[in-house]
Amino acid sequence: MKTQEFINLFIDELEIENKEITPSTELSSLEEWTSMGMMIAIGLAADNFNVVLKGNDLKKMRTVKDFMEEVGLEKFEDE
Amino acid sequence: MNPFSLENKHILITGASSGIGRQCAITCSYFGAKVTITGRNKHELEQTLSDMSGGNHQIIIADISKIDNIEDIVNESVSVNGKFDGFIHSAGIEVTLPLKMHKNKIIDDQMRVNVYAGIEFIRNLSLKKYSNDYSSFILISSIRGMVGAPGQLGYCTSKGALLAAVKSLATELAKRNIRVNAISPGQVENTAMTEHMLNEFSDISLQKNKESHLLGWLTADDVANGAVYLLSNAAKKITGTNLIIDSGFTAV
Repeated sequence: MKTQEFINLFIDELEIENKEITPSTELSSLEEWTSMGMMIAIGLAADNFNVVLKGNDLKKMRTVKDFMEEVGLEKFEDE
Repeated sequence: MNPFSLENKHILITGASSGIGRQCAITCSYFGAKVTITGRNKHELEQTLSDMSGGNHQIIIADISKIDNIEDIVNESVSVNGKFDGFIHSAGIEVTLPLKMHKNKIIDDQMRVNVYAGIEFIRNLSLKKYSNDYSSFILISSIRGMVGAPGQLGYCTSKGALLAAVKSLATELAKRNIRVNAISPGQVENTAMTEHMLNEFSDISLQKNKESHLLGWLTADDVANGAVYLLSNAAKKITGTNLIIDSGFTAV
């Protein structure tokens, strides 16, 4: 998957509106990054990367890039 | 005779391999009951049994999500230990997922174990061949049957359904002086379900949840002691109600 494809997916799944997302975006700056939003992100990781993340894995992530690292940077063609 | 005694009563308990169900089995045995415990995990059921007082208890390993198996469980137990005088449906599953991911199967799985299995047990136990008059049946609901929480649509729906079910069942079984009640616990410490939920909570919601339990989180014996009361003759005029054991959670 390309980084931009992943970001589009992230935006779609979390229903993020009117905000530009890049790998360096701070997750805590997103109003969608709530406990429910984190669960949606867990679903995203499971469905698209076959990675099972736990709530605690997400709580310690700071940026979008941290999320990409957690699912495995080797899964991104351009990283 | 002590009205809270469970001497000479045969009690069936689902979900007895852990948490509230396990503690109900242990506490009922100490109040003199003969207990049949069910669950999926043989090792855990044996652990429950080893903590119980007295003998003549029975273990039945069963997956009650297979509703068609339930009559066999009741029938087998009655043939060994006689008719029932009480029942506690403590088996339950909880799935926390945002609404957009809460597909029908997620709700269906929770409804099947939490609600349909409990009702199917009571349907069988309503038969004279399986229960004595003056029996007492308990469905373990939750504060989540009364108060919502994000991500818990299926769980809240199932626990709310139990509160309605006990009223209907109570009206129908009163002719045999059989009582049917719910217990609605708040958060219970040191259970597998709570451990799982802790992982889903944000730190803020965890703190808020703790503070809303005015007397602190429960332990399983707080719930089991309430169950003993409802099973005992001390509660002989209590039916169709919901015993809220929640540390004041719903009082706030």
